[in-house]
Amino acid sequence: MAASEATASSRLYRRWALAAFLVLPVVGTWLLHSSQQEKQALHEQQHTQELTTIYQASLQTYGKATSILFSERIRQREILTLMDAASQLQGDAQIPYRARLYQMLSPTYRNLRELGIRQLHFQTTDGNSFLRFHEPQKYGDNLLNIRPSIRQVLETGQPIQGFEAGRVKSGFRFVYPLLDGERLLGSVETSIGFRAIRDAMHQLEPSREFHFVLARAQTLPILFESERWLYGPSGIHPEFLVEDPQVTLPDSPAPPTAQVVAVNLKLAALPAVQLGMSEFRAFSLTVELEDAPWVASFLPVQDVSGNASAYIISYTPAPFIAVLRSEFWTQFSLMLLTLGVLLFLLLRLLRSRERLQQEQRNLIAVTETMGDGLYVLDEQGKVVLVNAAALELLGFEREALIGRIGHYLFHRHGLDGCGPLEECPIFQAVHTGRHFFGEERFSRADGSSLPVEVSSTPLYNGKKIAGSVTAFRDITRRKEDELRLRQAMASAEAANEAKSVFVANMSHEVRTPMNGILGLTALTLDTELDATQRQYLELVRQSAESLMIILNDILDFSKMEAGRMRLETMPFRLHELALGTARVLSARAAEKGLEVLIDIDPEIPDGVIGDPGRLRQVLLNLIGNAIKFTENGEVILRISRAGSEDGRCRMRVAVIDSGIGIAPDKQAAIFEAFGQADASVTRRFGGTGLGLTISREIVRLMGSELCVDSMPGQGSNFHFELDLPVDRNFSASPPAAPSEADGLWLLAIHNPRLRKLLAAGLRRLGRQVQLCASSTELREKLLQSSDHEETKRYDVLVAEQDWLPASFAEMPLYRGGLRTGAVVLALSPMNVSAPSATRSFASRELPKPLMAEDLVAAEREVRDTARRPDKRRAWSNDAERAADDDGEPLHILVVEDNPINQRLTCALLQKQGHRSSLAQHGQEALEMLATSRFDMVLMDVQMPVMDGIEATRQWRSRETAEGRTPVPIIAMTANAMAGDRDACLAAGMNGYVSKPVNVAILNAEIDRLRRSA
Amino acid sequence: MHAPLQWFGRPACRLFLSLACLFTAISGAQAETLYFSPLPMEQPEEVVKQFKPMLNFLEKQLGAKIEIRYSTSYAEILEHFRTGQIDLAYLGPLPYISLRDSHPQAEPLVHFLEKNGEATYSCALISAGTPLPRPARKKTFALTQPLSTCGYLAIDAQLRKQGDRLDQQLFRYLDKHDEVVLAVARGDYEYGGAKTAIARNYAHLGVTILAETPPLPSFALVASSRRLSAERIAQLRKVLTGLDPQTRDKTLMSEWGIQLRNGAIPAADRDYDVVRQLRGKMKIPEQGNF
Repeated sequence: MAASEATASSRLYRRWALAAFLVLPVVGTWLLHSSQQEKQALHEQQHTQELTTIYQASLQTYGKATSILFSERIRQREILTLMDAASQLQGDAQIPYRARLYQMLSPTYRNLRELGIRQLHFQTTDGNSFLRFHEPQKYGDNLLNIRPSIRQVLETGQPIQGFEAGRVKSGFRFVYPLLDGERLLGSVETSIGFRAIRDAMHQLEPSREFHFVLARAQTLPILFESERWLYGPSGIHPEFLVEDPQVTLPDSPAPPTAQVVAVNLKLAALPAVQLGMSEFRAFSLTVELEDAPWVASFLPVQDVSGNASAYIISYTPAPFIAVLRSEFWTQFSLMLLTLGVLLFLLLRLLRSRERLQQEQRNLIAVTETMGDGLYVLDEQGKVVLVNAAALELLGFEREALIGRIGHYLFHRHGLDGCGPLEECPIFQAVHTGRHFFGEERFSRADGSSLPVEVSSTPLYNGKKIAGSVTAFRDITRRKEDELRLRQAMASAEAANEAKSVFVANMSHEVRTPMNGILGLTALTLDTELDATQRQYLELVRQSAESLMIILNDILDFSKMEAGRMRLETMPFRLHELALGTARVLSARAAEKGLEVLIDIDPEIPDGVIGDPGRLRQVLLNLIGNAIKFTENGEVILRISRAGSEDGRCRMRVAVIDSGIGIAPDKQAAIFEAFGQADASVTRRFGGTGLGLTISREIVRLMGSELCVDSMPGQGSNFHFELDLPVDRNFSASPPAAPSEADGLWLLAIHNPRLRKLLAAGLRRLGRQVQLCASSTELREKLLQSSDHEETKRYDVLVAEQDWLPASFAEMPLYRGGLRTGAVVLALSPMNVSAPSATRSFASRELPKPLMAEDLVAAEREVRDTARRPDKRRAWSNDAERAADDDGEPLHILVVEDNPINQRLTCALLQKQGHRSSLAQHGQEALEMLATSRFDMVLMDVQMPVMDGIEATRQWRSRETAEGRTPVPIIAMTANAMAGDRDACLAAGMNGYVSKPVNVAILNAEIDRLRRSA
Repeated sequence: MHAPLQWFGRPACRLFLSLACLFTAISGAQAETLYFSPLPMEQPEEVVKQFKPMLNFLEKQLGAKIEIRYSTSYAEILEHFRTGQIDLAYLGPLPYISLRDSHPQAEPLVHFLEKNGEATYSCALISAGTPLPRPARKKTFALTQPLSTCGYLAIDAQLRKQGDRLDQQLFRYLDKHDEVVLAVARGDYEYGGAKTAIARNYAHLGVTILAETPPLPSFALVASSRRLSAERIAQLRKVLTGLDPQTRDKTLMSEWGIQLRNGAIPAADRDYDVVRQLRGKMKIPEQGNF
C-alpha cells in the first residue's frame, strides 16, 4: 500500500472512530437515562400501588368495623321495629320513635365518635333524614337527590360503601339497608372523615404523609351554602379543594407539613400533575425538595356512584430515587471513562497500525534493497516472501517461488540433491525452535550450484512456530579466498618449520664446536703454561665466552622470532638464584669498584615454581647492563613483595643502578632488536643489542612487562613483576635464632647501603649490631672494645676483606677488641683471593654479594666446625671437598660422535678422577652397555646411526626386560630448544647438561646421580 | 380516641389559632385589632360558623381587625374581659350582670334580636317527656354553666315556683345548651335547663318544655369601654343597629348565625334589671353536686 493511500485510509479510520465516540456517549447516556427513568417510573408505580393497597386496607378496616356495628348493634329487633313504625308515620308522629332511637343508640354513637366514626344517620324508606346523631337538630330533609349512596341502598337493598361528598362534610360512607326479611325499613349510614382514614393509612405506612383533596365540581354543588366556608383551594390544582385547611374543626386532619407544602408548590407547576388530576388518573411522580427526591402519589377516589371525585395524595421521601440518580451518574461516569479509554486505545491501535504499515513498507524497502538474499517460509516450508536479491542469486521468478516449498526448489544438501524436507538441516533446526547458521549449497534455477552462508531463525506466533526467516549470501568468492589463504598458511607454516629446523640445527651446529673451544681452552688453562700463553688462552676463553653469549642471544632471538621460545616450569630457590646470578657478575662489578647488593623482602617465600634458567638470563642481562653502564656507585637487585594469593606470590623484581641513565625518548628503542640508546653507547659499551629484547620477551612470556624508569645521569631502574606459584614442597630452614651466648656484631662495610641492608637483616634475625663505615673507624672501635670486659667485646666481626689485618703484626690489635672465640667473616668479591694474613685472621671468607642470612649461617657453621674435632678452614675448593667426600671413581661411558667433544669430555672426567669409555653412536652404546658394566653414561643426543634418545629408550626397555639395574644416563646436548630437556628425561635419561658443558654443572650432575643411585 | 377535655381543649386552641390567622389573613394589614370572644354555648364549630360572617362584616365596616379569642366557659370570658384580653364579648344576661358587677366598664352595645324579632328570650325547663313531680327530689338535672342564665339561675327559679329548689336535686353542668338538651333527649338526665329556642330545636327528639322563664334580655354584644373608645363603641352600635335583615341586608345576614341574623337594637344596662331580680342574692354553685 502506498504511503499516501495508507495515510488517507488512516485519517478516514480516525474520523470514523472519533465520530463513533461522539455518538456512543450520546446513545449510552440516552440508554442509561432511559433505564434510570424506567426504574424510577417502576418505583413510582410501586408507590401508587402501595398507596392503593394502603387506602383500600384502611377503608376495609373501617368497613369491617361498621359492618360489625351494623350487624351487632343496629340490626336489632327493637331498632327495626322503631324504624318500621317511623317509616309508616310522618311529621311529629315520628318523634317518639326518633326519641327512643336516639336514647337507645346515643351510647353507641359516643363509642363511635371515639373510634373516629363521626356520623350515624338513619333514613326512612322515603329517603328522608330520620335521625342524625352527629347533628340531631337537622332531620327530615330528603337525601335521595343529593346522596346517591342512600338512594342506591334504598333502591337495591344492598349495602354500599365509599366516598361521598356531603352537604356539610364529605366522608367515607358505609350505608346499610334496614331489612326485616325482604322488607325494607329504611337505611342507616356511618361516615368517617378522611382523618380517620389517614390515621389508619399512617399506621400502615408511617413514612408517608397523606392528604385529601376534593374535586370542586363534585363537592360544591352538594355542599350546604353555609358550609362552603370550610373548604379552601388545594394549592395543587385549581379544580380541587381541601376541607378545613385551617383545621377549624376538631376532627379535621392536620395541615400539611412545610415540606409537603413545598412539594405541593412544585407539583402545582408540573403540567403532568395538572393533566393527571384533570383526568383523574392514578400516578406518582418525583419532585426535588432541597436536593432530595420526594415521591408524590395521586390516588383518585371514586364516590359510591363510581365517579372520581377526590384524590388521596401521599408524600414520602424517596431515597431510592436518589440512589437511582447516583447510580445513573456513576454509570454515566463509568461509561464516559470506558469510552474514553476505548477511544484512547483505538487511537493508539490506529497509530500502531500506521506505524506497523510504515514498518512494513520500510521492511520491504530494506529487504528489497539488501544485498543478501532473504526469504520467509511458513510452518510447512512454503515460501511466503522473497526479496529481489534472493531472486537474483537463485535465478527464479517470484511467482515460481511463492507458495511452493523452498527446500525442494533451491536447497542442495549433498551431491544427490536436497533429500526430503524433514532431513533438511535448516528445516530441522528452525522447526525445533533453534537458530541455524552455516554453509550450505543452494541450487540456482539453471541447476548450477551456489555456495551460500545461511542464517535461519524461527518465527513464532505466540508460542507456536509459524515459519522461519532465512538470509543467505553467495560465498563463492570467500571460498576461493579461503582456499588461497589455506595455501598461504601452509606455505608459511612450512617456511616457519624450515626456519625452526634451521635454528635448531644451527643451535646444535654452533654449540658443538663452541663446546669444544671452551672446553679445550679450559683444559689447556689447567695445564702448565707460561704467562704469555695463559694470557693468550684467557683471551681466547673470554672471546669464546663472548662469542657464546652472542650466539646464544642470536639463537634465542631466532627462537623468539619463530615463536618457539618456551618457558619451563620447575621449583627453584629464589634466594639462591638471585645470589648466584649476582655473584657471577660481582667480580666484573668489583673490577669497576661497584658494589652489587641483594635486597630481598623477607616475606617473599624462597621456594617458588617457574623457569629459573630464563629468570637468571634476564637478571644476568639486567645486572650485566647495569654494571656495564655504571662507573661508580652500586647495582642493586631488589625483590619486593607486590601481593599474594593463596598458593602464589606476586613480586616486583628491580635492577637499580647509578649509571649513566637513559633519556626518555630513547627508552623505547633500547628494547628493540639491535637497538641501543644510540651509536655512541654502542661504540662505548659494545653489545649486540639483543639482550633487552630477549629479556623483554622472556618477561612477557612470564606474564609481565619489562619497564624502565630512568633519566640521564640519574641511573636506571629496570623492573618487572612476577606472579609465581609457591613451592609447597619446599620448607625453608628457619634462620638460627639468637641465643644467650650470642654477643655483639660489628659490621665494618664500605658501601653504606650494603651496610644498612646487612644491619637490618641481622637485627631482624635478633642480633645486636654495631656499624663501621671505614677501616679507621673499625680500628677505633676494636681499640675501645678492648678496654671493655670480655663479655662486652664483639662476638662477631664482619668486615671488608681489605680492612682486616694484612699482616700478622696487626692481628693482636684487632683481636683485642674481640671476644675469645669470636667469629670473623671477611667479605670479598667473587673470585678475589684474600692475602694470607687475612685468611689466617678471618674465620671464613664470604663472597659478595650476600645477605644477612648468609652471615648468620656462616657464623653458625664456623662455631659448629669449631666444636667438631676436625677443625678445618671454612673455605676450601668445592671440588676438593667434593672429592674428599665422594667415594670411588666411576666408570663412565661417553657416547659422543664429535671427536673434539669426545676428547674434551674424557679429559674432564679424567680430571675428576673418573674412568671413561667411548661409543660413537647410540647403537654402539647399546652394544657396550650390554657387554660391560658402567657406573654412568654421558649421552649425546644428536648422533648418526642412532641418536641418544632412541638409544636410551631401547636400553631402558632392555633393563626392564632383563631385570638389569638402571644405569644413570646424563644427556649432553647442544640442542637448546624448548622441550629438548623434557624429551631426554621422557626417554629415560636421569640428567641433562647443555653444551658447551660447564664443568661444575657436569660434576654437580654426576654427584647428584651418584648420590641418588 | 380523645378524652372529652382533650377533645374539647385541643381543637378549641386550634380553632382559636386558626380563627386568629383567618381573621388576620382576611383583614390584611389593619391598624387596630379587636379581640372578640363568642359564647361557648354550642359546639365550637357551630359557634365559629355563626359568628364568623358577622365578624367579617364588622371588620370591613370598622376598618379594624377582629380576632376571636375562644373561651371554654363563661368564667373564662369574664376573666379575659377583666384582664383586658378581650374587647368584645357575646354575653347572655347573667354573665353580663356578673361581669358588670366586677367590671363597670362593661357596656352592652346591642341586643341581638331573636328570630321572632324580639329582643328577649326565655329559658326553659325541659325533659324527655317526663313531667316534673311535686315535690321533686333528687332528680337529675343537666345545666349549662354556672354563669349561664338558663342554667342554675333559671331552673332554680322555676323549681321555686312549685316550692322546690335546685339544690335539692342532682345537677351537673354540661356547658352547652344543645348538649343539655341532647343529654335530656338521650335520657342521661331527667331534666335540664336550656334556652327555650334551642330546646325547641330538639322537639323532634322528644324534648319537652316543662316551664319557661319570663322574657329575658337577649344576648348582647358587650364592649369594654376601657379598651374601646367611645367612638368605636358608637360605631359598633350604629353599624349593628343599622342593619336591615329583612330586605337590604338579608342576603348578607343570611349567612350569619341564627342568633345574629335577625338584627339588633341598642342595649342598655337597665335592660338587665329583671335578671338582677331573678338572681337576687342567689349564690350559684360553681360546680355540680353529683
